[in-house]
Amino acid sequence: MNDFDLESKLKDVPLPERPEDYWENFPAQVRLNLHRAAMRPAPNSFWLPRLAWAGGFALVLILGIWCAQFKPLKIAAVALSKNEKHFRNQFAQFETKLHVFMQDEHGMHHLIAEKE
Amino acid sequence: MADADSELVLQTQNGSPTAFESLVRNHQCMIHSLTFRMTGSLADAEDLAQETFIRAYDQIGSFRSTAKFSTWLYRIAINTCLNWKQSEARRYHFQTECADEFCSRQNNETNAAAKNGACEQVQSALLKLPAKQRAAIVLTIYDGLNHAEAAKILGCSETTVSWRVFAARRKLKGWLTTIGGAHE
Repeated sequence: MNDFDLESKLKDVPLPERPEDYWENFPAQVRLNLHRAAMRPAPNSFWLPRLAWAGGFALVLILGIWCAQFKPLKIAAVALSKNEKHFRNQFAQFETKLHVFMQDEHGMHHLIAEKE
Repeated sequence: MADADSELVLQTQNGSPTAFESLVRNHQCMIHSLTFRMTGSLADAEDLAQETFIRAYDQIGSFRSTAKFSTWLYRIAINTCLNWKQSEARRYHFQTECADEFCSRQNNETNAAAKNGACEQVQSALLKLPAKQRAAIVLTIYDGLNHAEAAKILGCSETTVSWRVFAARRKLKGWLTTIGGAHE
């Protein structure tokens, strides 16, 4: 089969005929559907995915900041609770001194100073 | 753009639904034939034609008068057809029905009836093509556009259109030769 035969075969297939009143009514039908579409509430599907992504991103950001901010405090709290007995003894021994707790990369430090 | 269309588009852009109705009237046959060739179903063709005109109305504000309105509308129609996933199942049913019908006809009916059946087989073969190849065939063979014009509508390069047409022709020839042989 050559290209010409193929084209003739394809073009031999007729389009189904529709009644005259179908063509008469079709534009009005489109207009009706346009009217219906206009009456429907504006679709917010455009914003929904963006809103979801923005919300997710904000949440991750907040969690990140929260974790970064509270991690040292948590470490300090753990260190304090671990050495609770030792610190209590120190408090008892140096009751009148000034006690300062410091947390750095080497761990928890208990400083005892004279009160001015 | 044709003068009649130009004026109607301008009126539609200024908010006249009546002008748009006239545009629909002017182009409804062209769009229906395109959507039917793309779907092979009267019901789907009607739905897609409706969808095309509704999209066109929504986007008419972005239409520039430097382009041809029919080309612009055609592009919307083709994109609507290519995105029409819902009808895939119905299309599949149509193909299956056609194939079954063909097998039964082969054994029972006269040559004349088989010739009528061949028309359905051609339509069925067309529907078996991937949507983008079918679109290339519809635009170039049924609507007589050259590859450059078809490329403009399909939003791809001329080479891509040529390749799609070539691949589609090869498949169709294979399928339709078998059918032709079976009928004889």
